[in-house]
Amino acid sequence: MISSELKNKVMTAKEAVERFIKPGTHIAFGGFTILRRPMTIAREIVRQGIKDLFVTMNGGTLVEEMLAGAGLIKWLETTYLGLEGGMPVAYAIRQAIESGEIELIEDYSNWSFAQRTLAGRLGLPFMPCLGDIGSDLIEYDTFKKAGLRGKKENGDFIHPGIPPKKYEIIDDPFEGFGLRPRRFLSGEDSCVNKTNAYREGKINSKKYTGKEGVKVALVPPLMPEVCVVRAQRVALDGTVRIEGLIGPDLDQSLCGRILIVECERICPPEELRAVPEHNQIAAHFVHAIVEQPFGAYPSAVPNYYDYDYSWFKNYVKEVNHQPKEKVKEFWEKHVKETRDDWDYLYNRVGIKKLFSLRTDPKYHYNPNLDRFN
Amino acid sequence: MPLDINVKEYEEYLIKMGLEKDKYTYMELLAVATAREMPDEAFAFVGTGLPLLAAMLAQHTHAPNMTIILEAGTVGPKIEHIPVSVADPRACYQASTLSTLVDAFGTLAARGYCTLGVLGAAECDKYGNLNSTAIGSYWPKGVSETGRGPDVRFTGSGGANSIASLADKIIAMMVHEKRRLPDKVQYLTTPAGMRGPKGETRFDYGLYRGGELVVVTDLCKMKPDPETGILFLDEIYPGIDPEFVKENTGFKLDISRCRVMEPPTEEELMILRMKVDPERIYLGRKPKRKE
Amino acid sequence: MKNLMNYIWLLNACNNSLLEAEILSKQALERYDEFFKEIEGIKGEERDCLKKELENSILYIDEKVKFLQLLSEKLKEVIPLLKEE
Repeated sequence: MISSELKNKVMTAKEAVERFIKPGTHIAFGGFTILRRPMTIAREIVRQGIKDLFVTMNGGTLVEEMLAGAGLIKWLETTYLGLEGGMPVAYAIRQAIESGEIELIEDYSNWSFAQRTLAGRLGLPFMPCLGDIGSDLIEYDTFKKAGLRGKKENGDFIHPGIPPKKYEIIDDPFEGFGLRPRRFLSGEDSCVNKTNAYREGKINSKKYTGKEGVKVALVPPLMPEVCVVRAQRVALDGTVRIEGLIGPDLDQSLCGRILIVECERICPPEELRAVPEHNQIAAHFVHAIVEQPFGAYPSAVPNYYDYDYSWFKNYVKEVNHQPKEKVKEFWEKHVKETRDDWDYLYNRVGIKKLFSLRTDPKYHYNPNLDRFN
Repeated sequence: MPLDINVKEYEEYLIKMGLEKDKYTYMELLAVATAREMPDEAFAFVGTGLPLLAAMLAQHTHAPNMTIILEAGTVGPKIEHIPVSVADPRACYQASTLSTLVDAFGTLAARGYCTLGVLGAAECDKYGNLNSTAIGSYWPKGVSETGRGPDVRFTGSGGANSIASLADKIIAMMVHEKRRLPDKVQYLTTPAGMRGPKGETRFDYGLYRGGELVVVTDLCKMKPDPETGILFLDEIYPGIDPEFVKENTGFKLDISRCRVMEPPTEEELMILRMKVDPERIYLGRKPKRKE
Repeated sequence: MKNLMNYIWLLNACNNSLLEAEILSKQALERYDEFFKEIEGIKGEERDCLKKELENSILYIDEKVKFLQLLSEKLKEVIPLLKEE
């Protein structure tokens, strides 16, 4: 039987946001572009008008576009700001950065950011990365320029979500032993890449460290206050099963303090524990479970519903090249004025539209969806 | 390559779409030009749109053993319906494995299974450095001296920098305009080519992979000179004047070595139209160049 | 036996794959009455969506059951051949 302790994790989006998300919260939203975005919590944040958010994500931009459009983002850590549907660069975010409404933005690449989330998930002091080297990602450190990196007089970090350095470049103490392709005892490496400039003697690099060596960038862990992810099923005890592509969601869900999971359906624990190796997140990591069918709309949830491309096209039509007030107005009408996500889904989207996105079990999406007309 | 395309169906399709079997459109030209740069047996990191179309065309023609990898964590999908994003469930169909970003860049790319990357950018300079971050001062308002952020903010690196740091070869796709091809990019998001002169090359900075680059634009293909690392005009599309290309390049472009590319063949066009993008979702798009 | 193992393991995989189907369909049966009660008020667009959803479910279940049924019958044909000599 279900104990009352377990029931404590289940709550409405309203409760979850009230409890865990405050102005200035460092928050990571899961999913990737049009896949499994946690729109239910994000929309509730817009409804409650929670401002000055410190948003971090790998692979935007639907959620972040909405939050920027509603004027709620103050700081942004990001890798990518594109939006599907005819907007190569997400408009509201671009406007907010250019005008200065988003005050600080720190850039990473997909790999270095992923390594940050991995370090956070594994509880390790840092993770190595062989990218970002030789680029301006290393040279431009926004948080440092803003005086946010380092410690206060009392020894605390200035901001618990901002590491004292953006990168640290070291010389590989193992002298390039692990770089691929390499030579094994039994022969040349079996992998397909052909270049390894340290082997070919092309490299004699003294950059960054001032000494000769194999350059490796170390990245600090990402540790937000709140991580939000959307899964297909979550058990009553918190066990999470994500179906389809995971993207950032394993690492980016487990690196923070609080994990909120929104799902299509809350199910009995026995259902997911029957095949435990198919589950990705153990129960104890989850602090809040929010059930909202169709809540990822307009993004896709494999095996349940497809993304609604017409929403994206319509968004471009309504908002592109418009002044800031018009953009904010769009999000006010579209989301803020709704009471909750059921109100949004019934009255802004419509049941018929939602069910038209239902997926085919073989394809995991809707192969008959006419997206472009 | 023998294919199961019905000749009569193709003829009907041509009439329906207002196309001719030996005449190509702008996007078709770009797709073919790019596909030809993709070697067989490549492990190609591509994004959706033209790069994916080119990869699928290559798989159907000279590169049947190419594996497509999508940076969100997808390995070797057999795509049936055109995806709009690398995380689109359509791009996952019949994949070998689906996993995470850490996997895509670690287990695949760094581990040695990233031989080719296809990237786009807002700016590309003479050393093949790409800028997809910002124009007009990078700094956001909180730390800038202007009271504002950059003049224009683009998408940011996404996977571009990561892929360019790990791939043996990069194909960079650009619109060939003077302002997009400056002498030096305003922000170095991605070192896709040599990066700079001796002492400032990608290898001097410690990048251990890469060096091979081709910049595919809507007018031509450029490659870095093996000695200087500076882009020169390698192949020009049929009917394009090299002087026009030079005029539309912000940096000084050497046009003395250019050859004319073979136009898209009827077979390439047929495969592109009937197998890769029959609904012309990407092929039907208009040129970005401002006339 | 060695020539048969691949097929035996195929049947094993098939059996294992049915575990979740059993758990879920049993749950759906247990909750059927509660579901039936909720349907009462439904009308308009919602009713059409629900009808389509259920019709798809039924189609899908019947299709899978048909294959499983067929397999079961074919396997039954083998049993007499394996009786003790």
